[in-house]
Amino acid sequence: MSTMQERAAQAGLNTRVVDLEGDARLGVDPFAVWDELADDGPLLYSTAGRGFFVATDYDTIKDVLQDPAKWSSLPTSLTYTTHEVINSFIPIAMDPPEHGRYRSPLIPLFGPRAVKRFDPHIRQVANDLIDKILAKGTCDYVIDFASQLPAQFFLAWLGLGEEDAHHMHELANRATFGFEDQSARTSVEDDIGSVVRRLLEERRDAPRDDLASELLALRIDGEPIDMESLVSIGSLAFVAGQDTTAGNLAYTMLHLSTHAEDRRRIVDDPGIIPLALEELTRLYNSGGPVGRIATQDMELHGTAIEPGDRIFLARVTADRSVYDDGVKLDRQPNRHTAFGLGPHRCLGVHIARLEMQIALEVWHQRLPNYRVPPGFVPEHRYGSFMQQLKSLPLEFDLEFHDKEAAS
Amino acid sequence: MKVSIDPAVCQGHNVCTFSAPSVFEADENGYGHVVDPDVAPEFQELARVAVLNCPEGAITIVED
Ligand code: HEM
Ligand code: SF4
Repeated sequence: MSTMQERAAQAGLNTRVVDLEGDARLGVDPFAVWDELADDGPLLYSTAGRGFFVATDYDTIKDVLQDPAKWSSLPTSLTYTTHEVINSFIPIAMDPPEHGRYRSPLIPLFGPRAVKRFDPHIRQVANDLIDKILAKGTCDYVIDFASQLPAQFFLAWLGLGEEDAHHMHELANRATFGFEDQSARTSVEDDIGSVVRRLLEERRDAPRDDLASELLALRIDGEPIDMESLVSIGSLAFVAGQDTTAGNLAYTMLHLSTHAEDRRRIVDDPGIIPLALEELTRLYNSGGPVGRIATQDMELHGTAIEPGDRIFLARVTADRSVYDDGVKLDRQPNRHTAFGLGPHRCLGVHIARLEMQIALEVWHQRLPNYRVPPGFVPEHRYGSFMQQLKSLPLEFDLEFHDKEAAS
Repeated sequence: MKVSIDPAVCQGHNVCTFSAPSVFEADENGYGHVVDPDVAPEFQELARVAVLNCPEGAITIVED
């Protein structure tokens, strides 16, 4: 047995401090920090936290994520943290074959056809948010739109009333950033779990047309799922779908509000939105705490790996370096790992794509002329596996708004 | 040209149907299926794009 660091040195890997919890540069220009990691080749070693390997290219990330027998999600996929933090949500904290038993019945609830029926509701939420922004006359896209849309939509889908929306959104935010130590983690998971549990208990006696009732009706091998597991599944869906989607929308709009030509293109040709979203997601998405733990002795890029070794998959680094010709909104093909790969691939990908597509469509129809105020400097919240834009003030031309929508 | 999807590798990203709707169709869960394994000449370029687009590398093409 030798340490990860010794074996990394033997293999000639570069060593760095990839400190997602503390590197203040992540608050200023996170993507420069992620891009820098590509300079060290496909694998490097980070001395931050408890020490971990970092994979930075598509092929290595794909090999690891597609091979859960060698690279486990247990005991935790949070490999970069100083303290070991265990995220116990189902099905993210499971390995095959158990993972598949829980994931399979969930798939139809999140499939492309199932989520298409939410189109009108999401469109309504988007329009209502824009009405409010117009009434107010000013807009912080992060606060007034990006964080609202996924939260309002998801809470309604799950079955929670609007009165819970604000509180629940705060909890979701704590859940993507609250990984300081196990007691902080457990307290967030317990708070979310108790709201989800209350809802599930209400629906058990009186089902409605919502996700909570659908979860209660699920069967695994013909048996209903026990309450603890259902609370865990409901909590994960709750946590995984909000800050991720909100963050992605915010970065997409940061790009468009600072690149007038790309904004113009979307206004002139809204049909391009699905492709543009893939491109901007590839470039600006660092969501998803994707790490894995080795289960056996093996080799990776000439480095000896031992059971228990930690690896962090720097997906955004890999995705940004797949192509080297800048931003192309109509890029095809456009392969990326933003939604993960392998058996844990994001279950919510179809709903996330639909929400983001509608968000861009409705916004550009109604408020096509917008920009950041002169001198605006973006600031990012950091300290977790993902960054969040703190604020995105947008100026828009009132005299133009809604003309196109009305005509 | 012959095209196939390895169901053990496909994770239902639904990207292939978007890239080449005439070659692939998605089932209700988003998993890709080949409409006709013999790809008509006019759709072959789209099929090649789909191969490069599939994040899991699940699609295989055998050129004639
Ligand atoms: C832009 C938005 C989103 C991004 C970038 C994203 C990203 C990811 C990533 C990278 C994973 C893989 C984690 C791993 O391999 O360990 C994942 C898993 C997951 N995501 Fe998402 N996600 C997004 C939106 C959503 C939404 C809207 C939902 C639900 C409504 C959702 C639910 C899930 C669930 C349940 C899993 C766990 C799947 C499993 O373990 O089998 N996500 N997501
Ligand atoms: S793009 Fe690839 S993984 Fe996705 S559905 Fe098609 S074949 Fe399957």
